[in-house]
Amino acid sequence: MAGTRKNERTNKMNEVRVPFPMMLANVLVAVAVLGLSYMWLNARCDALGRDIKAAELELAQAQKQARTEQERWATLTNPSNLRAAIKRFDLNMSMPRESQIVKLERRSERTTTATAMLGRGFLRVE
Amino acid sequence: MSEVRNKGRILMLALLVVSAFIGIGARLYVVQLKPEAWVLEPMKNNLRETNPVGSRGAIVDRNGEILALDVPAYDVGIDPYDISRNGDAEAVIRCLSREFGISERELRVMLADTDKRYKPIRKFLPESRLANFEAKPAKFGVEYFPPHVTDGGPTNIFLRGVTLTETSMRDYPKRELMSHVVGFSNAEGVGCSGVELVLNDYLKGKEGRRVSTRDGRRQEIYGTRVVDTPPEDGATVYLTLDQQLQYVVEDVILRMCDEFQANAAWAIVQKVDTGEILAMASYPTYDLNRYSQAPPEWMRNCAISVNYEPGSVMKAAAIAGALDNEVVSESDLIDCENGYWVYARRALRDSHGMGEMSVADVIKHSSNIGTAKISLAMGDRLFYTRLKAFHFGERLGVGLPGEEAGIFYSPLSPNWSKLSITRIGMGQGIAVTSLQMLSMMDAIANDGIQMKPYVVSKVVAPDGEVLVKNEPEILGRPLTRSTAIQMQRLLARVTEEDGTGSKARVEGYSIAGKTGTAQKVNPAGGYYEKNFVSSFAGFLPAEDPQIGIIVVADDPGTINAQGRKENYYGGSVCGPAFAEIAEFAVRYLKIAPDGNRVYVMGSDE
Repeated sequence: MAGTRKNERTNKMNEVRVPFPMMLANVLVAVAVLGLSYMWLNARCDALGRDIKAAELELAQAQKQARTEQERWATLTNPSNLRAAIKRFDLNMSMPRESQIVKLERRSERTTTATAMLGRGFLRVE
Repeated sequence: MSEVRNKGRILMLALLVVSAFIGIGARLYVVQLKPEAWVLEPMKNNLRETNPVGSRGAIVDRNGEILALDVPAYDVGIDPYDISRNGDAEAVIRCLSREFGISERELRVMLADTDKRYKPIRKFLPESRLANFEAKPAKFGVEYFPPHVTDGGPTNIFLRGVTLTETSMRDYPKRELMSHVVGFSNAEGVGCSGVELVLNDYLKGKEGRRVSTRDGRRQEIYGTRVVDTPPEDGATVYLTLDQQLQYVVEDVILRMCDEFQANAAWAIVQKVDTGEILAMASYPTYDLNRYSQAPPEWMRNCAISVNYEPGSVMKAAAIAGALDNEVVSESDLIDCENGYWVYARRALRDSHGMGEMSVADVIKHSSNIGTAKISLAMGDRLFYTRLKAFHFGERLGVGLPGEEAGIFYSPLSPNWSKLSITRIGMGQGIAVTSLQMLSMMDAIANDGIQMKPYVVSKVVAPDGEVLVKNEPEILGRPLTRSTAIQMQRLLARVTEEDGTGSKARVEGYSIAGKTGTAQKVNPAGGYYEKNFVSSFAGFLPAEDPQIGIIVVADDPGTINAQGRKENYYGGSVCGPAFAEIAEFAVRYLKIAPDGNRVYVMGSDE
């Protein structure tokens, strides 16, 4: 038993390690790093591409929705629809009569003191 | 001798590494040395080219209210080939028949054509119409959600072979409003009438180009996009028209047509100082979303494409010319022959026979005889030159298709006779468009300067760049300022209580204008006895004109118990319509009554 252990120790001592060529090792590491970087970048590009594509679809969807809403709004503000709605809700909206209008105008140099107004009960000055 | 430990393993590993690198190197060598086609050909089969088209530009009114725009839509179709092999034909028939109201028999006939890969079911359906469907392109079909689920019935049914293809369609949310100006574009997105036609090059979107590959789910792989030219949307067209004013004008002429049983009617509202058209309406009209159902004659923009004899409205131009050349003055007396006068062996009559009257009264009472004598005093050449200065017989270039030039022969033409000068001044023997008549009236209103009418204010690209901008443009100066102001005053008398246009009056405003009632031309020769074109053209406020309005009715009038035609005069048919439009316009456009008159509170109040 003791002899066998000694032999093993001797064998280990006599063992010659084959030196791995450093240059090759460096090249392989560099290639591996490059390869991994390429794969990572490729995956990143794919992921960004998917994000861009999703954003593009989202934008297109938003534009579609905006158009649909614009169309809805334009239909709602169609004067005939507005008039129909006014009638339906019995709002009795009409243009004001002349006597109901008060118009204020910029004071000219000639009218220095009074406020320019139009209405019932006011004097008219040319 | 030293022993190499694990020599075999190291060799094996080295061999593997070297083999891998040799493999990669060999592949690179093959790829680099093989012809390009050998490498790219298989890739090309996966490439897919699409040409997305930009949306057609919108058309909006002067306040940005949308009149026309592209909205998303879908084409519904079926793939009979796929359905016959992988789908459920009965489910497709049942669901599509219920949803689109197509007979089951018709659908069965379509599905029987199993060689075909596409059969259209419905085209240009809005998104709202397809609320019960959900597209599943990866599964080559759609999911259908029946609106009424029966007890135990399925809440959703997958219909393989039914396709929803995304597209866009032109939509006109205001339907018939401004239909003759806006026009329409067809299913291919090509403008066919109105602004849609004239500005088609600006409105149409530009096609893009995209080349890329798709994955198994038919989704594009972004990283493989080798060409990517994005589509460009069309430009937005801003009109000078106002939808609220337009609506009122359309409503008024519709009611006028109904009340006076006219065949057609049209009206224009124009800004005097710029020439901008604020409203341009024709009746009958049509819904732009259903243009294919409208008869062609309804699509005619009568305001610019109908030549008609204007009748007495033309007297304003003839007398203005005579005053401008000092052939007569407004106080000169003209013998109106008590309403009956023979010249060149042809009789001329006035509806209200009078003796002598001043030139001012000739306008006010619309005397044919008075106008004919004033025209004769001018002489053929001067008379022609003065009217030509208003651009009669020429297109004004409003910027819409179908604009007519009118017919105005020169004294050198064989169509000019001795009688012509006495008839043209009262609006016979000359054909005009209502736009020309309004332009003449507005030239008087604008102190003698005639402005070019236009309906398009600007064209703006999606990036905000202004591609076209129309500015007010002077067409000419047919009158001097003093004569124009004089004419404004004389024309304001027409709407006085005893004038022919008294029904065109608006409370608080002085209206200047002229009525016209002309017999219609018989294409077989001469004139119809009882068919008329009635009109009223004018502007307001007479003291500081802001807007010009013309209203024309084609063959109005009712037949009374005695078989006589009545209610056809321009003053009684178009006058009230003019007043109604003017009344709304002054309030809506905030036009102060009678120019710049100022109302001041008195010191004792």
